Amino acid sequence: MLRDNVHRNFGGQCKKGDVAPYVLVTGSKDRVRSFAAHWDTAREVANHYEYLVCTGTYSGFPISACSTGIGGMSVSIAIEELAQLGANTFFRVGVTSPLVDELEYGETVIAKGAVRWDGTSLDYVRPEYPAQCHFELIMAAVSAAEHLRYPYKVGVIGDLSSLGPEREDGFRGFLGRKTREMSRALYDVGVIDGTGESATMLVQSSIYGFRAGVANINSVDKANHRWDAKMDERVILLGLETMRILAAWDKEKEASIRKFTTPEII
Amino acid sequence: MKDRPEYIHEAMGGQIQPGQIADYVLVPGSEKRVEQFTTMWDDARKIAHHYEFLVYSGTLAGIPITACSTGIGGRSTGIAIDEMAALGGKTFIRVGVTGGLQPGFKAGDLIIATGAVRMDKTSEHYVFIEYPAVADVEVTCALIAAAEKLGFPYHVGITATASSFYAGEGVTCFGGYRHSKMDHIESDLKAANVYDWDTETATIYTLCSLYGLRAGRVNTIVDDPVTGQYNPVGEPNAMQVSLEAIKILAGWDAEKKKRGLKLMLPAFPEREEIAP
Repeated sequence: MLRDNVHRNFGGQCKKGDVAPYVLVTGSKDRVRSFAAHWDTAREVANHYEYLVCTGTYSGFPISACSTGIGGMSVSIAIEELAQLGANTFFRVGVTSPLVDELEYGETVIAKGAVRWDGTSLDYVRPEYPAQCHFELIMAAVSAAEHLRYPYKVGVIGDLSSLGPEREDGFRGFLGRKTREMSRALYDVGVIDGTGESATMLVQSSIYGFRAGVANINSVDKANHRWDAKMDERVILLGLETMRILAAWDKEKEASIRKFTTPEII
Repeated sequence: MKDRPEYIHEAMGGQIQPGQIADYVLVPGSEKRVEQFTTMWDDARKIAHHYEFLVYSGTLAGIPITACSTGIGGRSTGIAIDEMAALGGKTFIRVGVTGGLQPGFKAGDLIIATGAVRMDKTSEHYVFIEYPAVADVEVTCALIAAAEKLGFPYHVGITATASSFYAGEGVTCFGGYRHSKMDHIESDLKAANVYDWDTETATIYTLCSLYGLRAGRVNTIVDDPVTGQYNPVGEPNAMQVSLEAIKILAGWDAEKKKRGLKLMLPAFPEREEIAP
């Protein structure tokens, strides 16, 4: 199929209408399949490099899920393509390893914004520009976490092109001096969690006038010194419930001709 | 209270005693606006007047409230926030005037800022530049709810905070002086969906985010795109919206305390039964 670059429309596999306005974004293809398994209807619309895109309906509204792979460069391509195909609301859910001990195992971090150490977003706009989450998505994610009874914190997260090995656990115990300094710098300003896919998506969304949000679940079981894949189920349910809540609020908003969803005035 | 402040600006030149600053603090730029605010409260008393910082405390619909002018620019704004925070201020709303950057904006439109481009420079002394200057969700929502309730035209988006009023916003200065570095600043910001220029918000948002305090901002567009003239028609609207937002926030804060909530949220939508 003809296309103007290798990644356009995910390798030419999608056309307008194949992607819903609401898109769940996550790192791995497995998680995209897990999202789709919960929907009322689902079809695969593209499978290109690290991008698996599924579209369907969930709780009565159209939804897509897209894997981004790891890192800002692949995320930026995914958002560009999804935007062209009709997406306008992005919620990234994923797992994370905490930068500090204060974050409990299984705890959800709902982002207000992200530190732009992704690198990629610097290609888009000057570094002073905020990588921020849309307030409606922050509220929807908090509402979802509350109702699913997941413990959560709301705060600024880190976003890193690579942190290198985070503790003395690199090959032959490698730990870079710069990594230690960067971790410390984040800790000093209250950043407790680091991801590699948030800031790029947030900056693109603000520039293009889209809504975006991020929540990550700490799946490192420190007590048992292991990575626990069971937390993936939490990721899936949190993502689905957040989008369901947001879509329901959007429906009410349209009916009331208000521009934004806010709490009721008491 | 110590006999003498440790620093010249501490407690606004040592004029403020503990307990004199309310939780809700309005931070306009000008001293005049502080005086205008006090006429809209139930009662007001002057607490301090030190350099460009004029501070009044009083009550609004029974809610304890403070207004503190920041003067112009990041450095003085940083001092105002640091001193007000040290004295007990917890929620900050900036009210001011702004130059619109997007087509379709009119003089008098309100701009509620969700985040700020950190060209203030001051905030860089607090934290590395890639840290996001973001507004508090509840304060943003309260400002929106207030603008809706009062029926004033408003927009919600990102502001850019400059570190100088003329050169910093790419304006031609005295004798035609221009700094070529700034030639593309305005077009770049417009392309990046930035809504307006101001000179304080990024400092306020960065500091409040670092300190775990709440902040929001409502400015009115005063650069009339039709006439090209300064037109402060929206100033009273921005002031009214900020006061209404404080009333709304006080209501939410009381409700949160009563129900043990962490964040005030819209009503939870129950799952609809989907017909098979």
